[in-house]
Amino acid sequence: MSANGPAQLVSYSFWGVLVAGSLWDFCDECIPNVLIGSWGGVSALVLVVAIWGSKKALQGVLVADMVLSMVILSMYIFHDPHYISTMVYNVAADGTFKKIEGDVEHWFTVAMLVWMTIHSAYLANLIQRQELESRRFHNES
Amino acid sequence: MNLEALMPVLIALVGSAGLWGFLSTKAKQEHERRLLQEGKSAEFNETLKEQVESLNQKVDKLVVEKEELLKAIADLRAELAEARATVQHLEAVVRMRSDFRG
Repeated sequence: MSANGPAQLVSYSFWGVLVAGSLWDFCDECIPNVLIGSWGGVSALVLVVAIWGSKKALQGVLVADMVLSMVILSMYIFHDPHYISTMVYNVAADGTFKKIEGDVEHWFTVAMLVWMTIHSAYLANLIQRQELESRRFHNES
Repeated sequence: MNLEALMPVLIALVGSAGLWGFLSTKAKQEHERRLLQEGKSAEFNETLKEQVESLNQKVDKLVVEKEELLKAIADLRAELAEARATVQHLEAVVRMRSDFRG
């Protein structure tokens, strides 16, 4: 394993949990909290498996994380705000109402989910390449 | 769950399968390429080793032949010096005889 591998895995694991937490209760009807919770759990599992698990298991967990990231990303992009769900507004100092989620927040959330998907895919691929290189050095096909 | 709600999940599953398939295949192809390159490199090194061994044997043989030739040249030089001394001696004898008669 290269020097930066474990550090990236630890960082990814923490960010996975933080991002999942930030999406909690976004819209339980469209993106179930169970799914978001599972995503956070799998992200946390990355840290555990990186320390105590095998490389094969780590690769599997990262692939699962990538799939979950992409599912949540897809659900978020296709999410159509429906007015039967609770809409939250902030009241500004001048008494005007401001919707909490704006376009900037929306696109930054999309970018965050895209980044998590790409990062998990990259890390899973990194583990796979390290495994193949290890086999090559040990003269295994 | 209707089809519309399942659509993002299906798209995500197909997308992630495609992405992982692409990355995985690329990594395996790179691995195969490196193995092939390593095999070719090993074959090349083996050929080089054989050539070096063959050249080494030729150099050893040439060194032995050179030593023999140097020895032969030294023998020839010694014989030439001996012959030159004999000729000089005979010339001196012939000169003395012709002086005596004259």
